[in-house]
Amino acid sequence: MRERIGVIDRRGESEPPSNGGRRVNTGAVLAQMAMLLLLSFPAWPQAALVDLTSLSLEDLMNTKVSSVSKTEKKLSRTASAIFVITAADIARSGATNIPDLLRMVPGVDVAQINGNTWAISVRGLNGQFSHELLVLVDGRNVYTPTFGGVLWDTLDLPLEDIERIEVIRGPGATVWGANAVNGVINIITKKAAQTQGGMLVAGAGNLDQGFGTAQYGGGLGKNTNYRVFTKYFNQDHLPAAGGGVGFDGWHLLRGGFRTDSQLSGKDNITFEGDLYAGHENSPETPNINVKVPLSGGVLSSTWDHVVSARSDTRLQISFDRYKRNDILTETRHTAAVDFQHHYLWGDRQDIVWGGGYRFTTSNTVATLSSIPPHLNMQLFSAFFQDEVALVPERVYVTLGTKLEHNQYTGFNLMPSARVSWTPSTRQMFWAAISRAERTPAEFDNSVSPNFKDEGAIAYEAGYRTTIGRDLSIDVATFYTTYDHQRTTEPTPAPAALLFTFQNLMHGEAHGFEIAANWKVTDRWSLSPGYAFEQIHMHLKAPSQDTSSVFEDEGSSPVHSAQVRSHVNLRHDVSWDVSVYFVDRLKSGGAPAYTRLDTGLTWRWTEALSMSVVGQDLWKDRHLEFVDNAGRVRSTLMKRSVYAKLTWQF
Amino acid sequence: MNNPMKRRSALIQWGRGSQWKWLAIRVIVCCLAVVTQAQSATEYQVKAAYLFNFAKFVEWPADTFSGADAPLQICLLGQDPFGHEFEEVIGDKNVNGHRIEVIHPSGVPQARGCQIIFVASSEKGKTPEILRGLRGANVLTVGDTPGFAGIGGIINFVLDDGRVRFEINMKAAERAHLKISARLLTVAKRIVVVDTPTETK
Repeated sequence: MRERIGVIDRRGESEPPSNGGRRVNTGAVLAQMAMLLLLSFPAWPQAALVDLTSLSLEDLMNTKVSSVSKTEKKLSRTASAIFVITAADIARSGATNIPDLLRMVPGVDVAQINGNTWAISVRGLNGQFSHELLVLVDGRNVYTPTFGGVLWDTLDLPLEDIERIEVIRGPGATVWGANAVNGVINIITKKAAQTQGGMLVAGAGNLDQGFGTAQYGGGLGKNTNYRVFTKYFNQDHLPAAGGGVGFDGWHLLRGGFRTDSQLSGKDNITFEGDLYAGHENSPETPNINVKVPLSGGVLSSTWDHVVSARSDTRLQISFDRYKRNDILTETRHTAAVDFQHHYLWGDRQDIVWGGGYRFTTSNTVATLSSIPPHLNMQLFSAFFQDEVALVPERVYVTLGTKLEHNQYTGFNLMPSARVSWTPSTRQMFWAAISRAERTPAEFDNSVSPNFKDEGAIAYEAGYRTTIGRDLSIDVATFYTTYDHQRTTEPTPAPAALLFTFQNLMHGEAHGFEIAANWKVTDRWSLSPGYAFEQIHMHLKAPSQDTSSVFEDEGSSPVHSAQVRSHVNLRHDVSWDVSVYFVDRLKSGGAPAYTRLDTGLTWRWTEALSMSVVGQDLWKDRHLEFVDNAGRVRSTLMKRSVYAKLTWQF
Repeated sequence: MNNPMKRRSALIQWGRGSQWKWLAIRVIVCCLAVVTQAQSATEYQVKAAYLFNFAKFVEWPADTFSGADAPLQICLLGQDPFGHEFEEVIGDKNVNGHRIEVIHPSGVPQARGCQIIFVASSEKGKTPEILRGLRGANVLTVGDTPGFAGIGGIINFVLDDGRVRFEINMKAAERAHLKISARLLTVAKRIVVVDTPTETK
């Protein structure tokens, strides 16, 4: 008698094979595969999986937890195109500066001009001073009004102290201000309580010739935590475009601190500050190599006060000073005060309102510039935002506006309306319309005192979803119309300057970004991303500009993509790979390129770890960006490797 | 057996030999899938499972329960971080015959009657007050904020490289007249020996 496979599958056919022996019951096999598939598909509700109370204490101890932090819960409800670079992302990227970290965000265009100069923007219109981007460190605005951009070379802090970087593409919420036309980058550092103990980092490579950080964190009394750090790096010259050495090497020494005091259950005060000094070689046009001493410092204090469970306030005061002796030779002092009150009104409304004042004064040597040698600038701003729960936990509408006053163009009103719909805990749709303005930089206004604000209206929509426990996808689309964009016009002779600025260009940009996080297996995760952006600009009738349309349309890549992979090879060894593809830049002639970074990290003990990182390994000597305004020369990015030791005690 | 034909037929022979082997292989593979899935959960699901285990491995004084089938009450003080995960994980389970009940008391006096009190991180500033208010009660106090065990809480959860572990304050357990099984002690990440208890101030 032939036996049947009856235990698992009774439906399976079991024809007696004609030549004796037994055939495998295909029906049973299929049923088993189906069961395997069912059990491994993560979307099925948790109840189908193991009962945690039946695990032994040892097994519970070894269960890895994936907690959705409060921040992630909040971000998943944010009606904006937001990307968060976490501390883990930062450690795995192998990046040694903040601009390289930003490459992983789809929609952020990062192009390194030379060893110490970057062109970074969000959704197009890139340039050395991209004025459509707002950058904050712990709430403090770090842009320089001289050219209306960010000095990325002096934006340098120990990357190990960064808790996360929130990147919002698009005008963001109205709590951000002018300059947040295309995006906001908010760098948030870890609280002092999170960086206790000592940390020593030291490394060297062919490009980063020597770098290190020494940091110590401890407690003072019962309710204060602090950390103190010092950081140094020395970067070699990159190759020049035509061959030879690029003269863009630089070194910077920085020291800083942070203290957090929980004064009572309701008050928390944070002090942060740093001082830096260094030298930077700057290859300036046409063929001058300048050695620029850099120095500066910042001190800021933030007071958070809890009024009640439904209301809290924040007051931030900061002072900043910097000195750069490049062709401009500028010394700038800035003082800023910002206040914010957040409260819940009734059952359904979440209101934030606030105001701020910023005073900045600069001294420049005006031989090659139109900027007056001594210039003060004041900016007043106020904002109001109300998030209304139309259908609690499901539909939220956020209305807000920002009001700003600057001495060049007077008042600016920037309203925004956003709506989000969360049909389930795993999906979210959002849409927004906002108006944003960019106040003129000192340079713009010095050339043309009647220069108006450049404006934009952004229409955005997006979708976020979590599929199972291992895959999350974020899609964002945008359509932005630009108005009063800057054009360069010839001046009617006779005149001191050969050109002037006017606002005679308008146009539109559209595109979309996709970012995903996929936990392929317990040990391997992948983060792919892709961005598409296209810009069309047009001149208004009397304009005689010959370059701005081409520059604005072609200064950012149409396509860009990236994939980051992280593998835990063993419990103490991990391997990270990041590949970036950037399309060619039509303006400036930088060709398309692929960048490959990879790093291997060994955790020898809980305290000691070492990593070896290779950067830009794909193509040696490639050009990323040519500055059309012609202020600095470009050099070529080259293959580099470094090794780094980290000791925490 | 160098002849590939022979090797293949040997395999088929083995496979053919017993349908139980195939069954065993498939069941093992399925179980592997289940087991590998079981290795991850959310933080508060695991903490809920731990609370269930604490109830199993801690001995309360004889007069704590009014009867053999009186419920074992777990109080959550503060903003509840568990949500529905408590019911999902613990459900209707019993510990030593006692049904598990979850209560959300409005204040410390109401919480004194519970066997286990979980102090949520929202109560961070008020923890010393809370522990003072529980002076003398036979309550297992559990928290998940840094320093909880140091000021007199009995068990404190800590996150260690993505895993939930805990530390135990033995002195505080003694003061509450609770006996902690050796099983818990061996698995604890840290035993706090010296503390500055708020109850005795």
